[in-house]
Formats: sequence, C-alpha cells, structure tokens
Amino acid sequence: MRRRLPVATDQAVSDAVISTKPFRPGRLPAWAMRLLVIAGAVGLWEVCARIGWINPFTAPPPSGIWDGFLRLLGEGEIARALALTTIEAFGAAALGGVFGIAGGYLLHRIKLAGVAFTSWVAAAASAPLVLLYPLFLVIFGRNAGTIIAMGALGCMPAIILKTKEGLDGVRPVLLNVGKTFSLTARQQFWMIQFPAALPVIFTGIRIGLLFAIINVVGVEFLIAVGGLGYLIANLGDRFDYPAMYAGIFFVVLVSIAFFWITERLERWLLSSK
Amino acid sequence: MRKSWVLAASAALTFVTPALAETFKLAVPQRGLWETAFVEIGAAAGIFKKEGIDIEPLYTRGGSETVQAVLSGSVDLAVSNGLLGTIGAYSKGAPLRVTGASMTGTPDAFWYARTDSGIKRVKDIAGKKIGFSQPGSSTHLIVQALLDHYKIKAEIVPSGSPSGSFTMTMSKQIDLGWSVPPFRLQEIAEGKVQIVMRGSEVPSLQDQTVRVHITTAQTLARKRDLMVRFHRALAATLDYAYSNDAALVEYAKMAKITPELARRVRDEFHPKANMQLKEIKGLQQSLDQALQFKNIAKAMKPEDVKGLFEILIP
Amino acid sequence: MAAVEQVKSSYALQNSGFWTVNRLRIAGFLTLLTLWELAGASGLFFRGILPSSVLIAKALIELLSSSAFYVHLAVTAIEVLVSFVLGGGAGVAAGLLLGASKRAGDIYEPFIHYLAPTPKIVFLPILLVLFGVGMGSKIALGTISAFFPMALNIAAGVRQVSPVLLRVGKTFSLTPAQTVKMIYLPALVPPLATGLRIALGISIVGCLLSEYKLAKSGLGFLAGQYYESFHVAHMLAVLIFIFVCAALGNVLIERFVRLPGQRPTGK
Repeated sequence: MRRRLPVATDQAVSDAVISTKPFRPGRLPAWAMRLLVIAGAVGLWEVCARIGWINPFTAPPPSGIWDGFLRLLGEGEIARALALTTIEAFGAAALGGVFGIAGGYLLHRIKLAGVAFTSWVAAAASAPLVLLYPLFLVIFGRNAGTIIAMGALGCMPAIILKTKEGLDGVRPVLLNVGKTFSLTARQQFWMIQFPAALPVIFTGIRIGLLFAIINVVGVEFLIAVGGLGYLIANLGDRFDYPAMYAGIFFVVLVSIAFFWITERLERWLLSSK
Repeated sequence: MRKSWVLAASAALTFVTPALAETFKLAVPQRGLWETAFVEIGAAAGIFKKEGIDIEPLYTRGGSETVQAVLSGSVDLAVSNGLLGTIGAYSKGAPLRVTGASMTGTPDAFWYARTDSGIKRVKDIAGKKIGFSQPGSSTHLIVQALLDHYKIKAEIVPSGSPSGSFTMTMSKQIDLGWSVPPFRLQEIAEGKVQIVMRGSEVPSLQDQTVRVHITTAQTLARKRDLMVRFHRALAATLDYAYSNDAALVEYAKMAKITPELARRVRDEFHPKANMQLKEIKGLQQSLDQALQFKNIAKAMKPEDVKGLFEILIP
Repeated sequence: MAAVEQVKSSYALQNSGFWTVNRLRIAGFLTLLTLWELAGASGLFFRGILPSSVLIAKALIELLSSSAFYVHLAVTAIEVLVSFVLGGGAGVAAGLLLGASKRAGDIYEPFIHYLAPTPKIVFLPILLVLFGVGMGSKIALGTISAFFPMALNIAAGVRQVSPVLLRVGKTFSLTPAQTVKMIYLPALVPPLATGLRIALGISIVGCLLSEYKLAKSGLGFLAGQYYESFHVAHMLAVLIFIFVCAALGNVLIERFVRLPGQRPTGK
C-alpha cells in the first residue's frame, strides 16, 4: 500500500479543531460533490432508459418515476401510508426501547443471567422473527397492533445488547469514585453508572429505531395491512413500476429523515447532560 | 481425421436429440388446486412426455409473483394468472402474451363460517365481517359481486391466503373466511366449518374468463414450437382429466384428500365447461373491471388489447 | 479490565449456589416451553396456530429425517454464505477506503450512513425481475443488506485508531505496511467482529424473507409452503431450526474472531 495513511500530526489535529483551512479553488465542499454524484447518476439513468440500454419497463426513467410520485401524492395514498408507517415505527421503537432497556439492565445486574442468555439474545437478533407473523396475527388481529408488536420484538435484541454493553462498560474508576463518596447503590446507579452508559444506550436506541423501521416495513411488505411497505408491494403487484420506484425512493427519504432526527435528538440529549 | 469423428458424432446426435425431452418451466400459484393439477396429472399419464416435454413447476404463493417469474425469464409460462392483473401489466408496457384461458366463471371460490357461529345461509351474513384475499384480487371482485347480487350489506376484510383467512375465521376476527378447494374440505367434512356461499352464485361473472396462461413475447418467439406442443398436451390433459378416474386418484394423492373428495372438487367446483382453454370470454367486462380496480388508467376496448392475446390451443 | 472482572465474578457465581449457567439456561427454556403450552391450551387463541410442543417436536423429527429438507437447507446456507462473503467483503473494502481517506469519507460515507436504515426488502421486486426467481435474487438482497453495517463499522474502526498509537508508530519509523499490520489490523478486530455478527444476521433475515416471498427452494420457501398448506407445526419446526442455526453462527463468529493473546471480543 503506497498511499500514506492519515497520521494525527499536530497540524492535522489543530486543523480539525480550528477549521481554518483556506478554501482551495477547484475543490468543492463535500456536500456539493455529493449533489454532483446524485445528479450524474440520475442523468445517466434517464439517458440509458430512454435509449433502451436499460429496460424501461423494469427500470423506468427518473422522469417517469417523478410522474409516478406526483400521481401517488395526488391520490393521497402516500400520505396515508407514510402516516401509518411512521406511527408504527415509532410505536415499535418506543415499546422495544422500554422493554429493551429493562432487559439489558436485568442481564447486566444479574451476572449469571447475562452470561447465560446474552448469546440467546444475539441469536434472536439474527433470526427472521418476521416469519412468526401468523402467530402475531392470531393474537393481535390483522391491524397495526400486529405490526407494532413485531417491530418491537425485532428491535428489542439490539437494544438489550447495547444497554448491557453500556452498563457493563462503565469504567470501575467511576464506580470507585462513587464508593469514596459513600453513595448508596441507588444513587450510584442513577448518578454515575446510568449517565456513563448513556452514550452506548443511545446508540442502542438509534440502532433500535433502525431495526424497528426495517421490521415494520418488512412486515407491511408481507402482510397487506397498509403503510409504505404494503404500498410498494402492491404497486409492484400491479406492475406500476414508476410509482413503485417512487415509493421506494420515498421510503429511503423517510428513513433518512428519521435517522437525522434521532441523531439530532441524541446529540441534544447528550449535550444537555 | 478428428474432423470426421466430430461430423459423425453430430450426425448421430441429430437422430438422437428428438427423443430427449425438452424442459418446460412453469410458474404455478398455489399447489394443490385442481385448476393447475394438470401439471401432475399430465405428467403422471405421460401426456407431456408424448410431446417430448419435461415439466418443471415452480410453485409460488400468488398471482403477481408468477408474472414476475415469467418476466424475469425464470419460467416459460405463468399458469393461471388473473386476467385483470395481466391486462394492467400489459397496459404499462409489459411484453406479455396470453396463450390460453385457465378459468372462466367463478365456480371454485367459496365462503365458509364456523359451525358454532350460527351463520348457515346467505341471509345470516348481514352486518358480518367477510374475508377476501387482498384488494384488487379476484376474491375481492367476487365478494363485492355477491353482496351486490344478494343486496346485503356486510363489511369485507382483507384476510390473505386461504390459510390466513382460516386462521382469522377460527380466531373469530372475521365471521366468514374464503377458500378454494381442496383447502378447508377436510374441515368441512369434519364439521368444523360449513359453506355459506359460493362464487358460482353470481350469474354476471359466470361467462367471464378470469384467469389465463401467460408468457412473454420474447419466450414465445424463441420457443414457439415448444409452446405449441405444450398447449396441445394441455388440451389433451384436460380431456383426460374429465374422462378418466385415474386423474382423480393422482389429484387426490397430490392434494392429500380422499378420491371421493377429489371427485367433488372436480365435478362440483370445476365444471368442465368452465375449464375451457380456447376462448377469452367476457373481455369487455374484464376491461371495465380493470378500470374500476385501477389496473388500467383509461377505459379500454378489446381492440386496444388485441396484441395481448395469442391463443395457442389447437 | 471490566470484562476480566466480570468473567471472574461469573466464574465465582458458577461455583456457588444451585444456579449454574447451564441450569439457568435449562430453566429459561423450560419456562418458555411452559408459557407456550399454557397459551395454546388456554383456549384464548385459535389452537391451530399454537400447536403443542409435542406436535412441533414430532414435526421437527420428521423434517430432519427427510432428505428433501437438507436440499432446502443447502440452498439457504449457500445463499447466506455467499451474500455474507460478498456483502461483508465489499463492506470491509469500502470501510477501509472511506476510513483511510478523509476526502472520500466526507463525500461518500453519508450515502452509506443514510441508506443504512432503509429496509432493503423494498428492493425485492426489482431484484426478482433482474436476477430471477432462484438463488440470484436472494443473494443480491442478502449482499446489499450486509454491505452497509459492515462498511460503517469498519470505517468507524479505521478512524478510531488512537492517534497516540499512530504517533508511537511514527517514532519507531514504521513503514505503512508495518503500520497496517501492527496498529490498524489489531484495532480493527472488534469492529470486524461486530460487523460480521450483524452482517450474518442481516444476510440470514434478508435471504429468508425473500425466499418466503418468491423462491423455488430454501428454508424460507419451505416455511411458506407449510403455512399455505396449514401445517403450522412444521412451519414452526423450520423456524426453530433456523433460530438454532443463527445462534450457532453467532457463537462460531465469537470464537473465531479472536487473535491469539487478545481479550475476547464482544460478549
């Protein structure tokens, strides 16, 4: 490897901190480069689809997809689907968060349980829990309740694992400080351990929201209850590919928005500590 | 010297090849239906072999998936596909071709209720929850037509596949579930559920072809001879299935039901006239429904979809 | 250090009192079993969907003794392995590039960062038409799914290499190759392990869901077929088998990704 790897020299460190890098003409800021890349990709797609290098039936040109998007907006389908998926995803994340943090705490507190069951939880994270949907349909009915329940179950393992990791990873130095101040166990937990574990726990919640959206849209895709997942599957079934692609891009945009919001939230919550 | 060996070998092969069967790949929705049982029946009776065809079925779990399979080139023919969906795809530019009819009329679909629910006759369904598969499906169409025909108001609920519908019915989440034979026949025989109404009770639907066999224009062009031979064998299998009890035995084995139930499935739920392969009946009615169910964006006439149909049945 | 203390204390617990790790696991399993049986027998739910564990056990035995089952298992295993290798491999490569080059990272990593939470199953209709109904579309979905978490983990790992260590390396005048071997690679083991576990899990789920939707063979396909014919005990047996395999896969990764002399990675 000929290339020189980045090394933290004093100059590089102070550059990062102070950001007084002079604007070098000819070198675009990163966001501009990204826009260029996206524009280039879209342009290339449009041209290829129109010439016929890409099959325009299975990969319609972006102009057709835009038309499809407008059509979906006009019919109101996308707004309804978006509302439903949003409610379900946040509901699933909230439910999964509450039970997940509780579960992670238990696995941390009861050491033996932690050793015994952590690998089971990790396995649950890799299991296609979504395929248990017939059971959930029976218990909750063919409605949003089933989807929220499945979304919650899908994100719980990740949150449990991260919470346990966070609580376990609190440096003993901090705990010893608490002991020197003769804090009770409860004070020890709320004043030292929990705050110290919070960054990792928040990562867990962010991952949890990720899994919640993935599971919610996944279940919607398989069962026809409603929401963005169902919309995409249905548009595919009807072979309305332009609108289906529009729906897919819309899901991408929505998940970007969710992610961005939770990142901001995480930053705000942690900075105010 | 080597060249002459090659020539001799290839000459020998041209005599041998016709005896080898060609593989014909089919996408079949839902295993166990009588409508698509020709796959097993024809294979068992050697009818496809006689035309030099080796059937390779791919069982999917729904209509649009069979179309996806045929569009991707994974299969040569998508069997028993909803005509409305086919018209919709064609109107959007999918290079599909209809090669034969699969089901005309709706004699196979039925709706049932738990025996302990007290719902025995059609008049009992007023205000109840009735299941169908999913929006835009043929069961959606049929259940709406049934309610219109009987002038009864009831709530229709998407309930998924026959299994899903059965689960919802037995969990009392809906009052009537939908099914097609052979599913639920066992439970009916055991007295757990009873049939309340059938698709055959709507007169307006009985002269309409609802399901068809489809392929793509490319496959048809490339494998035309194979296609023609397949459809010849298909027509022969249909005649065989309705004249020979061995077909019933084969079907009973495949669907895991008794031969008596198999006979009921064939004669009661699939009258031979409904299984005709050659004609696409009631096309204008299908086009009107396609508009109603948003499969197509603008009203169409049969001339507009002329290019879709290329019937290969002799 | 915290990890070592924990292991020590857990060993201590293992030798005191009635409860050992294995006894606790057995108790946990029995509790789940009891809850299942109670739910099924309670009459609150449709019994057909909650078959007794005896029926499920019988179905499992039937499954494991039929040769057709192993064909399906092989198909799924191949799909998962290939997507795991392709997606994970591409993820490692991308992660290294993005972590090593600030410019590339600034421009391209946000794409991966923000595309990661998108449910990849929505791409399935397109993949089905592009790659057909066989293993191709499943591998495609599994690969795309596994790529993102791996790339992000590795990129973060490269960037988190302690500048202190790098300065130490510089004072020893290490060549770039030596820097990679002695500083970067060991530091990348934990994110690699995490990435592998997540990638495996996501590959498994992606392959199985796409098999369930439309496939010729595979365990997901099998589960779907059993549900369609309403053989619920068999469907559950397949799912239990998958769960156990996923658990074993996780354990294998945990054991394997550990350089000699290093602390065990992840818990």
